[in-house]
Amino acid sequence: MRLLLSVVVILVIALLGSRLTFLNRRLPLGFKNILFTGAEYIFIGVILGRMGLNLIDARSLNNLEPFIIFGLCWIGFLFGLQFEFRQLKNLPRFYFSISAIQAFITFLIVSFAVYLSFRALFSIPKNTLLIMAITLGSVASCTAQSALAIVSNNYQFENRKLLALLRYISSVDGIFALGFFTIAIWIMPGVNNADFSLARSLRWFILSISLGILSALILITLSKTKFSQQEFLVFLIGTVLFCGGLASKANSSPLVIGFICGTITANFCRHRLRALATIIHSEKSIYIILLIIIGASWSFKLGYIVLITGIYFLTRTIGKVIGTFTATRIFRTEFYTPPALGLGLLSEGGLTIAIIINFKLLYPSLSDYLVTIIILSLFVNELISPKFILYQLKGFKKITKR
Amino acid sequence: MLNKIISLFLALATMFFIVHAGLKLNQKNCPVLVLGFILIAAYCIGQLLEKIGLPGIVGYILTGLFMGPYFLKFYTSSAINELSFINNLALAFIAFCAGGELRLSNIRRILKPIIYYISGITLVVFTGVTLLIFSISNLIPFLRGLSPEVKLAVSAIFGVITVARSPSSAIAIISETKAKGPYTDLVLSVSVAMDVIIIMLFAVIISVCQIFIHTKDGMDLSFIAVLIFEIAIAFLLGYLLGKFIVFLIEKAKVEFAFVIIAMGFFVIEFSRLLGKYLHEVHNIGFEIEPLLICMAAGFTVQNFSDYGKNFLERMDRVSLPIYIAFFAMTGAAMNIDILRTGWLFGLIIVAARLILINIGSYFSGKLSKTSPKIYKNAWLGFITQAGVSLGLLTEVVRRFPDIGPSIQTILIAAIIMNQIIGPIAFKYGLKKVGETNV
Repeated sequence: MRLLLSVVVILVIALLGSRLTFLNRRLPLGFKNILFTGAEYIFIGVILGRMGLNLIDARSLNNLEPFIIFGLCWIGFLFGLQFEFRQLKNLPRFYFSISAIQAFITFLIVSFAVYLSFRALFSIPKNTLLIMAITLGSVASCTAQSALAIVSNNYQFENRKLLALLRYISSVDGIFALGFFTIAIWIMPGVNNADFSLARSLRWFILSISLGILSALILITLSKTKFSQQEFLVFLIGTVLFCGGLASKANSSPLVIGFICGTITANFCRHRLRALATIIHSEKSIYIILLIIIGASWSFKLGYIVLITGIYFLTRTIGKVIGTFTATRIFRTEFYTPPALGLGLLSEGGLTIAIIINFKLLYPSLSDYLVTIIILSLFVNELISPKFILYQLKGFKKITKR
Repeated sequence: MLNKIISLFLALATMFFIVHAGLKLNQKNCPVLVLGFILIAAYCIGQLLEKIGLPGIVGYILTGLFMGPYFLKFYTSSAINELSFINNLALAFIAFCAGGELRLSNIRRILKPIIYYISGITLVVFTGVTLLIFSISNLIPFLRGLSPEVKLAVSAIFGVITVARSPSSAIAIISETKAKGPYTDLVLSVSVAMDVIIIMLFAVIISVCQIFIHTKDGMDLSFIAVLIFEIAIAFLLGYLLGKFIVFLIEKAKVEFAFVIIAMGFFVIEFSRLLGKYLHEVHNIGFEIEPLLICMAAGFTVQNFSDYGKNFLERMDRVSLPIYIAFFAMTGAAMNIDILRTGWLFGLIIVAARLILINIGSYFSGKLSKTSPKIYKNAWLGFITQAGVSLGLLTEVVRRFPDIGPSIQTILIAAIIMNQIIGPIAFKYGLKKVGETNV
């Protein structure tokens, strides 16, 4: 009964929500951004979950695991589909280097700080701690595009190049986040393997990459002949399910393997745009479901974790600023870049949630701290990021409100 | 076609590597993997079979069967059980489609043939199979030594179950061949209507049989009133659901396929839980058939709104993955051990059923004055058998725990054969009358 209720409630909210989230409302930019990213669905999840009505209990969440695997792989695949290398080359190549440096520095600062904080405040085994720190570092390195979209929807800019750079970084740095997250899983593939073994980790790494490539090969081969839209849907759903299932079987990340599959498809399949058009409509619904699930599975206890959340938030902001500053000084653009440009990259959004849910799937017993940190920082970041973007762009050129 | 063979090979090789290569991987069942693999493999095999003129759904069923626990062992029976909710969702989806395919204008036009075919086939098949089983009852081990009354009662159970057919297979073939025309309308209308009628007929026969098998004192016919009430409630709920779907199409522009699937899931679970609640808490045996609700909802959208065409088009867009998953699961759930045990009597029943359906439909067609092209080929469309028959067999086992499993073994063997033969025959029939549009 509970599963029925939870599924129905989640589906109804997701379906209606996918329509409501993007409506225009007269609200301050920060709140608008929260609604735009759909972060309010975390609250709905909290109300339905174990901290609220317990309508979606632990058993229901467990039963929803196949859907979570599919949803994560679908998101990874969709994210990968957007990386067509030919299109990325349309902008200057050093933009990619700027994004990489920014992501790497943020990752390093956050991982290091979080590792030390956890070590000082909690007694957690070293390997576990390392995985948690790297995962937090990876989510810290990625940036959502929502705040930039909200700002550019509400304001006009004379300097479009700076905005384009921010947009580019926020659309690309997810690759590095997934890369760093892969390192985290690489250290301990599968929750039962507590000790690090290089041979096992290497085998797991090769296996994971191969599974992503194989899934993509199947899709590419299938779509080489003439096919109907119905058949294409079979190819896409079949491949994503297969890919997610393989990832789960190999104790790997459906998100990362889906991303590999998507990227290969984007670059070697003639029907990339058709695939994108077919699946993009479902993204909102799947994303909302994941938000509800993370809210429902959240278990918050007041304590040192709030302090670590503060440290995470602070070091992430510092990492973004230092990372972007360093990168834009190494690779100089033809236009002026403000020293604190990294403040325009605070929005966290979708991929962060997906990585954390994936972490929860792989290491359920370790995830409570991370979920708390991400949920709290996500709300703060979404609330402040539009203002910081405006602040960065305002300091440079006059912005006129539409 | 080469590309499909390569894709199939890649999927098979990957599965073989993951499942049989002895890697220390996650040992848990992985329904997502099974479903994804089944979709890809069944699609490829279905396409290969279509190339040689066989229906795709035979490929889907065979894929499910051969990749499963009896042959290649890529998944276990428990993994298939975990995916049983997919079957329920697909059945609900197919029931929505079945209702949506029934147009009142078409039914009115061919009402006379429909009535003739339903009555003719039911009468001939039921009587014929009952008499056949009764006459060979001494050869069937579990019937030997029973009294003639009990033998006759058991024979009647065989008779009633062989009357059932499978609208889901019919719809899948129609969708695959994009068939249209009087033959298609007739087969579909008769198959769908039979789904309702067979439930009522089964209830009557099984109650009569209970008197003979369990030597009860008298017959309580109040169940017929309950049954009629259950069906009426199902139609009423279906009508309301249909109106709600019309509202969704008109007003809320939501992801349609998602909504339909969610509704199907809700209807199935709601019916199950209501039945359980009434039985456990109030000791009332009242069960609403969820597929009837879905069918009535589809029928309402088609016939009592302006969105019938729109509804079917939207359903059609997502139907292929659902059909593939459903029929592949059906194949995967087939029990080969049962087939090994009951194949001989199953084969006899299949052969008899084929002949009797042929006779029944030939005379029904002649009497209702349908065109010779139709009545000579109509029987080909009435062979498919699946879900309803299996559901009825579960009920037989529940009511007669001593002899029920033996009846079930023989009839499941027959149903498995009909599941393979039926779609091939129907596709052949559609081609013969020239109503395919592929």
